[in-house]
This record gives sequence, structure tokens and C-alpha cells, in this order.
Amino acid sequence: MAEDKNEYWDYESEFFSTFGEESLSETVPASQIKPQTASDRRILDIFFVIDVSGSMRGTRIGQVNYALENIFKELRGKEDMNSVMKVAILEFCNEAVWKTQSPILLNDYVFTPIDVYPAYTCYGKAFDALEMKLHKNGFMDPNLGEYYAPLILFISDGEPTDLKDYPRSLQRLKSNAWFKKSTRYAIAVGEDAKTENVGRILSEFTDERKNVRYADEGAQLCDLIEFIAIKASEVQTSMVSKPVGENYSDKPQSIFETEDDALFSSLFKG
Amino acid sequence: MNDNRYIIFNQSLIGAAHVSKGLICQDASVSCAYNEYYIAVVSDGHGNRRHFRSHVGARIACDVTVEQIKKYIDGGLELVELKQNICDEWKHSVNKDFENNPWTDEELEEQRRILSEDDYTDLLKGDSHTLAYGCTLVAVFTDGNGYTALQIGDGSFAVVDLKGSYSWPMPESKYNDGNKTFSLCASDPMVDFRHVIDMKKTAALFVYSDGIEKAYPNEEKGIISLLFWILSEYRSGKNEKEESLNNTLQRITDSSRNGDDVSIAGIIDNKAEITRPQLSVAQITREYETLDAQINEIDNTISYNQDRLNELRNDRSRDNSESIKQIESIIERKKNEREQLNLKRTFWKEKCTISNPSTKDSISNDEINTSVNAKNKEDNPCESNNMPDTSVPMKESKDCYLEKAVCEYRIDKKNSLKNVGRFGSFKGYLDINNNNLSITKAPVFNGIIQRASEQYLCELLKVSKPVLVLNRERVKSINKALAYKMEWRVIEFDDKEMAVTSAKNVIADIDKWYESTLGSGD
Repeated sequence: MAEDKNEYWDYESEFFSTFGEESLSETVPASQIKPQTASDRRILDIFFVIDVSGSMRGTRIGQVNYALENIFKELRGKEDMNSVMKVAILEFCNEAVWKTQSPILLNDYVFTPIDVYPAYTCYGKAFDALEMKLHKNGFMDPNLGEYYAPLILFISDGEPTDLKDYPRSLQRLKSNAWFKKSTRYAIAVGEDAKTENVGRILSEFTDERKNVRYADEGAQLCDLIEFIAIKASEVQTSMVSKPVGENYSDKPQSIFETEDDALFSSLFKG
Repeated sequence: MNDNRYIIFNQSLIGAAHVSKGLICQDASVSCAYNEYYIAVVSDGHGNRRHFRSHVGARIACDVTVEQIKKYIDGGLELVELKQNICDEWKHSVNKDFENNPWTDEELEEQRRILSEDDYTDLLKGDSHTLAYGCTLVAVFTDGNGYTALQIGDGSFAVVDLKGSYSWPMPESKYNDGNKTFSLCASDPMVDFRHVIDMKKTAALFVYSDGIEKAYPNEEKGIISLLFWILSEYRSGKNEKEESLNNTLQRITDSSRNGDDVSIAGIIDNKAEITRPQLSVAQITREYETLDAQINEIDNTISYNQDRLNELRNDRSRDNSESIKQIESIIERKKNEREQLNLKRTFWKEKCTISNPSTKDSISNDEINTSVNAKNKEDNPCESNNMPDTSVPMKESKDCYLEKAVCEYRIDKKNSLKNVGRFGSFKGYLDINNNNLSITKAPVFNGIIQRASEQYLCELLKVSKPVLVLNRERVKSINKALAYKMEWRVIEFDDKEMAVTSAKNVIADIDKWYESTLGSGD
């Protein structure tokens, strides 16, 4: 080895921080090589898209808030040495606003309750805001590490009021590569959302009818949100190596085995 | 062959996750010498339970590959025949293994549970038995005067050249992504059977499974450190090197996210001069950009929490003291993290600016020393921006910003163009828009506008190379690696206003220059 090796490694100590400068010298056993750092863990982004229009006032938003608070506590315990979870909440009514400028690590996130506004339910705005961030220049910055397929949970209690605009937005969203890759669930809340139109739009949004669920505005809503977020995040992070060309699905399996009878039987079979 | 010129090695280790699931190691590896050649092979058996004999498949893959490479070395095969033979012989050997060892009751019981009825029927009929043996393959062989490497599915092949540069020359698979890989068990594995041949001499050649790749992604400093360590360890001739490598692999699988099996095999030139690893400019750039993204993310987190904190402090309707305390502690922690990352970023920023790869695309020790000396010698505001190229006479400090503000490169076709059609069909422009100075539009690095601009800018600034100034706010959208390739110095500035003011002065001069030198364009 060249004589100036030490000088080089001194200078480069930061460069080789993964292993530690000294472990590269011949005298330090390999067993001292440092493992990966936290930032090397694969990222699971969880996006909550939440209707904050006036109709969500009261119990509905209360249950959503209660559920989200619990979820964040629960999910923190689910992180391991291989994965790290980040959350971002998109609130939509007349407009759609991300509560955070970028997804935030669970550990750095203290949940504060979501408020509702006396406004309409514009699905199109939510779809546009989602689409805008599902890019490498948005939330999926490759410089931050590798990503699992993101998890998106959509919650609304009514039909879209932007009937003319939302189809174009949904179409654009559905051509987004990260959206295609994502796993989506949707919850229709309360009787007003139990319509054929909502069922159809949300089925189109999730791509799978069984991923669209119905909840009344009581504790069932809270339980359902918690169940989906926690169960689905487990599924997202448990993907294993699979060969190409065989009959495996590219996407993680749905956590539901069948369609939601409470929703679809009344809509489509009734 | 036996002159100890080359060291060959291979190791496979069961992954931590496989141990905990009670599985066996599904990787296999082999290294050997044959006539004047050295061969290293790694095969990774698929982890899905559907591929319940992938460990056998991987072993067979290693054996048939070595056997066929030997035939190729003897001159009995063309390259395409070598590849086809490996696929055919693997299937043949798998068929033979299946004939000799039909499915056991235990295997069938498990498959009955996990397969659909149709798939299970196929399995019983023996129609899909090769699936059970599915595995990938990556192999390399050399006689010291160049190498040939082969690959199906995931895994990696790394080359260390005599200058200490690390590269991964195998063409990428069209079929692999994070969760799936092509396989020898596919109906036509030749579809993804890639190869690379190079006649250059090398210091070391490594093949390794995706268990290592997932822990240390290709082309990043982690894997370079690991390979350099292995290279040095084996070259040192220490007795315990096998054990050391084993320990290292153990740590890799213990700490990796998948806990996958890990395998590596290699061929190391024992006589080649060991050169310290050299990072390419692209690698340096990536490192810098990663830190930038991390700092940006931390800023967002701090800003989000700061907003929440203000909201909670103003909210008198309930007791928020607990949340306020939590948020304050998060902000404090993130600020500390930011400080640490900033230190790192300064380190890499220096690397970016001192790299100025005028004649090569990586950093040498001399350059580093030059920069350190330059830094120590002068106490000039310019120094904090790291422009230590001693071949460039330093300008007065008042001109420093001018020099840095020469141009900011953006791809933005909407800007008005100043046609410089004199340079052939290419249309470039120099424009100030939205307080940012652009020098050309895409394709900016086609060499034409670059030469023209370079000539003028060098004259104007009395420097040997133009300087590409990047506004940090916009740095994300810029492929700095390209700029480095064109041998432009890259500097980032924080003081946007000052830089832009100076830039406007420069652009006025540039306009004059274009008019006097080039006329009106077309």
C-alpha cells in the first residue's frame, strides 16, 4: 500500500463513514464494520387523502382524528431496521392542501387534529394535488433512498361536487407511474356516500372494488382506518423476491379477501 | 497458472432472515482456476416458497456454468453457444435431479397450501418442476488480459481497474426491479442472458448476489469500501482472511433490510499495484445531492413542526403542553441532525468544487492536497467557496462573485432565445429570466455552444475553464454530472441576489461580445 494511505483515509474519513475509516486499515477486524445507517432503510410513504368538507363535521372528523392519532402511535412500533415510514396528509374540500411540504418521518410527526371547512367536496382537487407530488421532484425523491410502493388511503363522506372536473384529474392521476405502483384503499363514510357514483369512482381510484370499504360514522370508521393503515403497511413492507414471467402479481395483495357487502350489495345488487 | 498471480475466492452465507425462518442457504458460489484462466460464479436461489428447491438449482447453476466456461476456454464454443449451453444444461441437470428425487410428501404438503388448484395439479404432473429450482446467475472469467462476464437475473458484477476506479459494466436487465428478477427457470432465460467482454487488464473482478447489492447499492461508496476492503484483505495474505470475510458477510446480512443470503466470488490480481478507490464525479455528485435532499427534508420537517408549534401555542382552548413539549424536542433533534448533515455537505461541496476534472473524471490525491494547501495558504472570501485550482489566477475579491455568477444552467425552452445560429444548426441562448441566468437550452452539452461560450467566458474572466454556477434552490433539477463531464467547474452559491447582479453585468458584456464577434446570428 502507498505510504500516504493514512493521510488519504484521514481526509476521506467522512467518505468512508459507512464502514468507519479504521476498519479499512489492515489491522482492524472486519467484524467492526458498521451496519447500515437509519437513512439507508427503505421508505414506506403513507398518504392520507381526507375529505375536510363541511359534511365531515362532528363525529366523522372526530373519528378520523382519533384513528390517525392511534395509527401513528401504533405504526411507530412497526418500524424495523429495514424500513422506515413517512406520512403525509392531504386535506381536500374546495381546495386540496398538503399539511406537510414533504412526507415526514413518523418519529418526527406529532399529530394535530384536522379541522373541517364549510366547503364543497372537490375530488378533482385532491387527485391533482396527489398527482403533483407523486414524482421524483415531489415526494418520491430518489436521493432520499429506495421506496416501497406507496400506500394511499382516501376518505370521503360524499359524492364529488366537481362532477365536470374530477374525471380528467382522475385520468391524469391514473397515468402517474407512482400512482400505478401504489396500493390504494378508500373509505366511503356515512349514508350519503353509499351511492353508485361514489362506489364507482372509488373503485376506479383504487383499481380494486374490494379495496373500497364502507363505514358508518361511529367507531366503525375509526376501526376501519386503523385496520387498513396498519395491516396494509405490513403487507407493503413484506414484499419478497419473485421471478419475472411467472404468475405473480407485481403489487402487494389486498388486505381484504372479498368486496364490502355493506357497500356494494346495496349499490350494485340491490 | 500456479504463479500466485491471481487470488480467487468465493463465499456464500445464509441470510439472517432465512435462519429465523428455518430455511437453508439458497445461494451458491464457486471459484476455480482452469489452464490460464480464473473463474468466479455466484447463483442466488429464489426466496419464494414456490421455489423450494432453489438451493439445488443454484448449486447446479454454478456447476454447469463452470463446466461450460471450461469448454468455451478450450475453444469448443462460441459465446452464444456458451450461454445457450448453460441454460440447456441447467434444465437438463434439474430434470435429472427431479427424476432422482421426486417431490417429497413434505414438499407437496406445503405446496398444496400455497398454490392454486391448477398450479398444484401442474406440480403433481411434473409440468412445472423447473420452477422449484429457480435461481439467478452471475459469472466472470479472465486470463488476466481482459474478462468475460455473464448474467441472468439480479446480482452484480463489479470491476476494479488498475487506477482504482470501480465500475459495474454489465448492461441492466429490462426485467428486474426491486421485487422481481429474471431466472434460469424462465421459459426462455436467453431473453435476459446478458454479457460484457472487455480486453482491459483489471485489478479485481467481483460477482455477488443481490443480498449484498441490497445492503450496499452499486456504484455507491459503501460497496466501493467493501470491495476495496476485500481486495486489501486478500492481498494482505493474512491467514484469517476467509474468516474475516465470513464475519463481514454475517454483519451485512444481519444489518440488511432483507436479511437475504449473501454470496460473493472474486478474482484478484495479486501483482497489480493497489490503488486507493477513486470516486467518479457522478458518484461525488450523487453523494452531494443525497445530502442536499436530506437537509431539505429536515428543513421541511422543522418548518412543519414550527407551524404546528405556533398553532398549539395560540390555541388556548385546550391544554397542549404535552404536544408542545414533544414538538419542541423534535425541532431540537432535527436542528442537530441538520448541523451534522451540513458538516458532511461542506465536505462534499469541497469535493464537488475541487474535482474540476480537467483531465480525468475522478479525484486524485494530488488534487486533494492541492486544495488543502490552497485553503491553508490564503484567507480570501473566495476560498470559502472552494476554488483552489492553482492554475487559475485568483481575481480580486470583488470579482469573485462575478466569476461565480457567470451562468446558471437551466433547461427551460420558454425563455427567449438569443439565436447563435452561427454555430451550425444549434440554437443557443443567453438570457436572464426570473432572476436566473441561463446559458443555453438543451442539448446544452452538445459541445457547440459549450465551446463558443467557453471561449468567450474564459477570455472575459481570464480563467482556463468556465464556471457553472448553480443556484442551490434550483440545484435539484440539474444534472451536475453532465457539467462535470464537460469539465466545467461547478460552484453553488447561497447569495443569490449578489450573484444575479453580477451575472447581469456579465450578460451585458456577453451581448456586446456576441454582436461584435458573431454579428446577428443567422
